[in-house]
Amino acid sequence: MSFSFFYIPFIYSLLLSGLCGPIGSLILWRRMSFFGETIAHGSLLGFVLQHLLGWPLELSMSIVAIGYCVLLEVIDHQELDQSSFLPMLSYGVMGASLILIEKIIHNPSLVYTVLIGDILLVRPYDCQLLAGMLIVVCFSISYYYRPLILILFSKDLGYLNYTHVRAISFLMNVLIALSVAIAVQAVGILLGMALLTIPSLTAYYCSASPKKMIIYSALLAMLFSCIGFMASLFFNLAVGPTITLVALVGHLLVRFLLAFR
Amino acid sequence: MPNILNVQALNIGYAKKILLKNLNFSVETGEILVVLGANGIGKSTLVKTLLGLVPALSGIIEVYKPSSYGFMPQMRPDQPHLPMTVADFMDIFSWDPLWKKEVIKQLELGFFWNKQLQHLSFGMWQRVNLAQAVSSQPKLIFLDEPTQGLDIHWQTRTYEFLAKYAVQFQAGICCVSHDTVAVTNYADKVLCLDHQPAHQVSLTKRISEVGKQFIIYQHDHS
Repeated sequence: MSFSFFYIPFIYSLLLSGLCGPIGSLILWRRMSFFGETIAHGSLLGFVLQHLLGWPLELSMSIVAIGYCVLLEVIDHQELDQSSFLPMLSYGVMGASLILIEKIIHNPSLVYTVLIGDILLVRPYDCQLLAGMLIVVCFSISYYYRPLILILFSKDLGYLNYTHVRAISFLMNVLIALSVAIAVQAVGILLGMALLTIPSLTAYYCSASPKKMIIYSALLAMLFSCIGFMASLFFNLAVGPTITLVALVGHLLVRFLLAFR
Repeated sequence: MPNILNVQALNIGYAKKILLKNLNFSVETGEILVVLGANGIGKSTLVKTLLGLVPALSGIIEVYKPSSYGFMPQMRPDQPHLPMTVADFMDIFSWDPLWKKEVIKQLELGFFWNKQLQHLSFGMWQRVNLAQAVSSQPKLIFLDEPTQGLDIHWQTRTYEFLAKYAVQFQAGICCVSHDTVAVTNYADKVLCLDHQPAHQVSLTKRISEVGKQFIIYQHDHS
């Protein structure tokens, strides 16, 4: 039995796991899980733009993601409540996208593609794109580590100790949004969001410092991906959902073991 | 002693709402100014305006020779899903190594140096918060209710630490507080912000009895 069709997807899942460390941790620290979900649901609009305007998928997804970041800035600037405004926006955009898919694109299976995705269809180009994103994310987070952590405690302290804090905050939102968009366009909302959140949440319970949490998140995501790939191969299951399920079981197992420590 | 902070005809507030009008006061080197006032009167807004975090509506804020500002805001340690020890938190700030050792000793941070922030009591966190405010040995420090959540022993220790710091580094300290102990024992000046004239008079008498210089501003509700 040849496993050659597995190599590229497997490399992609390892790269995505690497991205999960810093981006997943950022999502949790900045309490942006719902923002991540909003971007993920907004990816439907990215697919619609690709079909309607003939743009490359990466471009249309990036435009949607950055658009959401700008909107988030407006929400923050107007001191609106994120937790009530983002769901409204998310479901509104999703509703509009579904109508466009049904009435104009006439391709209902697109919704399934966006939701579940198929990691086995990723191309070497997707790996290159993700690797580039991983390098940019790692560099940005290590360069802006101190102000990034400080503004979690107090934005005022951040403004006082560092210049361009608002720009750094916006950059982090953009990195989160682009990472989610890139992951979702290749592997779907399910696996993309699962790998970006579950391993980081698991790592939080085993880590003593932010840096360790980032490293453990990436390692746990790699472990979950490897086990998920193996399980899907031997039990002939869909790869994305299997990795997601493995991540969830892994998380529960870690919580269970820590409870008895 | 030379002024390190000089405020003239300062109006503070937000966009369309003026909180305090025509503030005039100064802080000299080695001096502690305590800002007293009722809840919501604008004490924290005053501090943020002096720090440049909130734009002044009008007036002059002059700061002389500050190496940097120190600021102890009101903040909580329990950031969700952020594993961080006191040691990690302190590493975010720039320290002179000897000064860092001295602060750890004086504020007795060594007992919980490797403890996770979310496991600290609020009183312990306030000491960590105070330590970060003095990390860069600033010449001008602003503190927003530094003794909130502290027991009586640590309230006294905090003010003693600040008084010693002000003299040692020839620094000016501006401290928002509801704590009358601070006023009677440690304040060199008191800035009293209150909208009830009766309260102002009684407080003025009490402060006068202990020989403090005081400045009173009436809160405008119009």
